[in-house]
Amino acid sequence: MIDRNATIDGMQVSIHADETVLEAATRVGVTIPTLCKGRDLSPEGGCRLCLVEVEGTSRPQAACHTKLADGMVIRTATDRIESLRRDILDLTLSAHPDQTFDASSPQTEFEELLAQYDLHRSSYPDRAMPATLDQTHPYLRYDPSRCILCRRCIDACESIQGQFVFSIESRGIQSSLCYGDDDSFLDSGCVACGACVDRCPTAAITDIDRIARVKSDRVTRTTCGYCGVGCQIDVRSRDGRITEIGGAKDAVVNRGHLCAKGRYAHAYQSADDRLTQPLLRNGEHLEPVSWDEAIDWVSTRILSIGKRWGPDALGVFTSSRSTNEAAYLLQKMFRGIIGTNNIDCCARVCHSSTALALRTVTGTGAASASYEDIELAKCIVIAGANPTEAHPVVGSRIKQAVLDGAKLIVIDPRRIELAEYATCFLPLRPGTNVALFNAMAKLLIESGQVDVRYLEERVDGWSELEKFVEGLSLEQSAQTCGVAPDRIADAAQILGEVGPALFVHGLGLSELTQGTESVMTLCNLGMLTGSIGKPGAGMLPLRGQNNVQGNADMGAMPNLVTGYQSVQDSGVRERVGSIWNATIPTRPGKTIPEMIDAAAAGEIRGLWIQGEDVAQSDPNETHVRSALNNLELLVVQELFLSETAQYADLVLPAAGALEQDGTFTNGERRIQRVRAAVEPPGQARPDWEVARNVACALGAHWTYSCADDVMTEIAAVAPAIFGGVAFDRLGDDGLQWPCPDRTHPGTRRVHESEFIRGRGQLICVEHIASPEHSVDGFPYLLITGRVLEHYNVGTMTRRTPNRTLRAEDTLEIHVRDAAREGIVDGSRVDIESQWGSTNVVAQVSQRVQPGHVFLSFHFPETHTNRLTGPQRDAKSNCPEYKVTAVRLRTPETQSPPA
Amino acid sequence: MQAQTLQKIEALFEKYPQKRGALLPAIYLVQAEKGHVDSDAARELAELFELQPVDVWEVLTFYNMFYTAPQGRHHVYVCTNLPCSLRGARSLLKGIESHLGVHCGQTTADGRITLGHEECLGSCGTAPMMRVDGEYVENLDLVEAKRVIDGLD
Repeated sequence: MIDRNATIDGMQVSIHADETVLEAATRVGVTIPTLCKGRDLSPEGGCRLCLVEVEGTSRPQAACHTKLADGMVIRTATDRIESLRRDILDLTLSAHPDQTFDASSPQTEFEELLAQYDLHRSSYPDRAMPATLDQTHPYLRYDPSRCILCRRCIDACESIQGQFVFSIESRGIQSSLCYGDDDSFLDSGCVACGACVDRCPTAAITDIDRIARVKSDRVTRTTCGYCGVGCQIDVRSRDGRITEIGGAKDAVVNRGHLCAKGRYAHAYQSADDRLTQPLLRNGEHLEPVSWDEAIDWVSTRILSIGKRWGPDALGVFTSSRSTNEAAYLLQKMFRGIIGTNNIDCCARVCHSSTALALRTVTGTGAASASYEDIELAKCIVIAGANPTEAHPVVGSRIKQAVLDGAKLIVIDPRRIELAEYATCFLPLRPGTNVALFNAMAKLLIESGQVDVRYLEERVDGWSELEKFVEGLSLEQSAQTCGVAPDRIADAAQILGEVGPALFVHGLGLSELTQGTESVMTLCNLGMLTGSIGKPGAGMLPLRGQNNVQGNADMGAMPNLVTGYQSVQDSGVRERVGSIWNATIPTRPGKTIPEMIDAAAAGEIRGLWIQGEDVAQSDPNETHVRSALNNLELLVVQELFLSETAQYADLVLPAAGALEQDGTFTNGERRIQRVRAAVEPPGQARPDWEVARNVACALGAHWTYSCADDVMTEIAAVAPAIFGGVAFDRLGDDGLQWPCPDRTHPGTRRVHESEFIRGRGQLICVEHIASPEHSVDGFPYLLITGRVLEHYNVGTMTRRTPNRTLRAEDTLEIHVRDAAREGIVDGSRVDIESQWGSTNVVAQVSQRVQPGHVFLSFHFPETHTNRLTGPQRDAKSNCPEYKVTAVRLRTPETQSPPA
Repeated sequence: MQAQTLQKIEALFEKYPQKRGALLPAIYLVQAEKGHVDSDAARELAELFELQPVDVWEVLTFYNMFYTAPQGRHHVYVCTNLPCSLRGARSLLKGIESHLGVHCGQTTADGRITLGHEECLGSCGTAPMMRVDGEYVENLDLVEAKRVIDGLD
């Protein structure tokens, strides 16, 4: 028998395929110093500190580049090796003559090694190069005088973020790190993910939080409160103040990676204008009151409105930023105590179409796949989503998958960043997805590139779809969506040849009059290619807010109680009602847009809005504001006096994501713990506690003493999907629902052997143009959306240095249109739709197609949603944010005043 | 970049198994057209080669025969490696510096000449020597060097 062993420092070590000496040594607990090889980076071989003796070879070998082979005898710390290492460090130090450090508490990897080798001053002549500290960036700093050219930042930027910011300029002693030909950190392509900061061994690249580092007295593992990716973060704090946020290295969701929002945008937490006490309206003013007064006042008002106008005159919007426990208790309060199903959350205005479509054709409204399917995918289709800006950690994972060889099809009216990486980019007219997906289905079916076995065994409606697509004309579809037939054929061919595929989709599909149909026809492609339920494939809608998935799960929907159970099902009402000791109303309630309309019409008299700024975020802003004005009672739970809170009769100060306990559920159905890292300011309270206290004032006897108690009840109310969920099981990475019992490990992929609804359903539906597609006198189509630096209505990010990175919303307009309209970059433009108008700064760009303009909605002064109108998806009630007919006027094109 | 340069670069692609292999000769072509390769040209090359701009910049700044800033009409490079130095290259360089009124690495005010020094140019047997616009001028003394330099337009 052949001996498959090697020896490291006298220890027998087994041989693993492709393992380097450095990796094997690390595995068996032998530390070999290195400055250029980062933990999760590829070997560089430049620093030479990892040199080891290999018996039988005369010269030392770099452990990071030497594969451990059978019979090797390695010595990692002989006198010769240690003397070489000390000399290398000595030489390295000679380029940093001014670097002083406290040997008793080294702050960087480099300082640790210097301390270990007892080096303080170099014995070589000073060879420092002239260097200027770069502090152009609001978060990041680069100090060339500390850089040892290890190239870790270059590798991290490329292989983790996929951003390609850094390179080495010049050569020899003159080599220096540069941002390509960009002059500064701020001007470079940096997206402030912080991956380089985490890996720099000398703190040449660092950030303001680390520079200001004080010894933190607490580290709290929790879930990021920004987008629906659900990154795990380690929050450092001291004396109740957040000092630094880092990515949790072992977390399955983000593996240590974060983005400019999650890592750096935390200053809002201690902003001066945080709400710290309840505020009650007195005429024009909001005046501070005690919690007792506030709760007493609001419960009395709720009871009196309920008594006078009936329970359906009241309604609630739960917050997708808040916890599952808060959402659960609020819907329980409105259903069980007040007696109305007028409950909705902002999923209505983002992914309600997605959820409805997926539930209809597959049986569950959530993602079938997990983020880990990104790395397994051979083909990724991104439709109506811009992950590198709105879901940056998922965006960087997709980028890496594509750089590793996955095919990428990008379907988006805008040339989003990932379009640059795409094998095939289809820049369709906004709102024509159905036409495009039908055309692709036709091509797949007619070329025979479908998964026949999958369709026969698992799916209904194949023959109907075959017949349906026969009647479609590729040319006509191509004309409708404004994409050349050849391009559509290319995409279909890639999908047919490389599929199964992972379909990553977003609001560009759902926020349309045909939102539900867009997602259903995308599912057609998912089923035709046999993708749904397979590894590296399936449907992966990217959820916008941190807990928008959870809010829908918890029953913050007018027709479904916790766990997607219908309020129209008497069995459900009875079973849940008996747990609640309450009667659940039978009639489904109103959706958010319906409640706004009803408030405007005087049918809804009282609204409770938890952490949602509808006056800025909801479409047809003028209408929304008049509806809010019309209410007898508006209660708003908020961090700040938002646009909506300014209309409130009672404002309740809320605890933020970093200040409360509970759970968030991310876009891959993963329920993760949220833990308070710091106390909320002043008298701000966690949302679930407020709901409990108000419910008790309304006459209930709720005895929950912590968020954990609430989750126990959630598991009992919806056992089929949450039965096995309990705080003691959530650990660091949570559980993915469905998780029906305590022994169930959670569900990575749904519909694996069969669809939840039994058989999948293919849908035959024709494209119907939005009324906004052809409005006389409004020649441009406005698309609204998000940018990297800001989050939703910007309540949080506008109160952080992200504002330096992006100070305002800008209107992207194609260079040709700009020339025609006489618009130059940076000029102010009046933009007008049938529903309203606003004035914005133009950004001349080639990201949008001619005829389209794009505007984000992060700043209240932009009033983006004055432009968006009343069009909605008829099935889901999701508003059409993505297609609005607009016209533009510049001072030059405006007629002079009479 | 001129259409002609672009055409020449595209023709280069076929000579290499990978497109990026043609980057060095392509940089030479751009430099021949413009006299230097600035950041706009580097970005243009990156797009053409389907590379990241930083990748082109790294190559461009690594080699000292590529220039990212405008240069003089003529390049005069004096070899200062050991054999040339033993044969008087350092004082030759000093003499040329004072003749032109610029330091090594600088360009004359009239934009006529950029003066530099090189490590070994492989012509030790004819030391000291200099390279003028790519041509070797060997077995030099200051008088001869001045004569050659003054003869440049």
